[in-house]
Amino acid sequence: MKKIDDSRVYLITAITTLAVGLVLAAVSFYSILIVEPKVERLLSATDNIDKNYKQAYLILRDPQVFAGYGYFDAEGISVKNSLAFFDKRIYFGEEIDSTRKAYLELLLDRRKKGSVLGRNTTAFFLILSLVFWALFIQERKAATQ
Amino acid sequence: MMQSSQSESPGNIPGRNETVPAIDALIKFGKLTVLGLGASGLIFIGCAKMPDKLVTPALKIETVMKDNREMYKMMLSTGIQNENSDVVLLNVKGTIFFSEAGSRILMLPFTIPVVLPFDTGIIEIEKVYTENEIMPLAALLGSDKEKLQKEKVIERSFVDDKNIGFELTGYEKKNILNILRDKLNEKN
Repeated sequence: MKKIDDSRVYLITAITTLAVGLVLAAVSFYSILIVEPKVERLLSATDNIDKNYKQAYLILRDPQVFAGYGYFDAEGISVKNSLAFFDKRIYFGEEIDSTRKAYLELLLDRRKKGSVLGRNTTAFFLILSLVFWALFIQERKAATQ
Repeated sequence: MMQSSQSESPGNIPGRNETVPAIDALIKFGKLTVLGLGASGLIFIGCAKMPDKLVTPALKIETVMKDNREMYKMMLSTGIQNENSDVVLLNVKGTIFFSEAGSRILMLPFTIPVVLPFDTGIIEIEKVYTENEIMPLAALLGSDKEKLQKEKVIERSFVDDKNIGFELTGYEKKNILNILRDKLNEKN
């Protein structure tokens, strides 16, 4: 009986999962290594608070891919309300003072949770890719024998 | 001599009539990715959710004297909700209508300069009508001329969805980030 060569299927799956893993890694680690420290620096400012907090909010307003602002559960309502509050403040040119820091930290926390989820998903896809690379190599060896 | 069509494939190594599966698979993956991104881009354009109902419409009609004539002042207070997370609705124009058995008995145009994400654009309309103009609406609210003249006022906090509706006639959609960046740059 002729043996079916599955190497193409393994190869395509290995490449696809690797590509997805790499894209997710890039997005997650960009947030972890660049965006989140930048926001933390802006939020720890002691002078020019209004300007720094507004800059921090602009960064946070662009959500992390795993922590989008499209859907909210009961726990996320405070995030939704914070977005509505800060959008209004900036749109109408009102000041953001230090008492609002906790609400900005809430948005940062959501972003951090998103990037951690992204990092974990990256690990999952990379492991999956490794498994398929191993299967691909094994299948090629079997085919050449 | 007939040339093999396989030799023109990018997955082939020149001089060898053998396909490299890794290169072929990469090229296929690249094509599929480009197609997928293009398709998802098309889907997301114009995907903003538009307001589809009025928020707690409250209506009041009271008698007023204008130029020694008895007139009827109607005050409507309601709003429309922007449920999008990243889309700002600007220069929203529309018409609120009261209807009975499918026919519209009163139309009220409105304009809202801006409705930010997760926010409600407030609509407050105040208009004075003659008796002939207002009576169909008074009847819709379960009143009549005698009742209105006697009580001087009709107030309804919740108008039945069947009797009130609205349609948007114009609006602009913009991304909240662009709007907020412009606002901050304006200030600086």
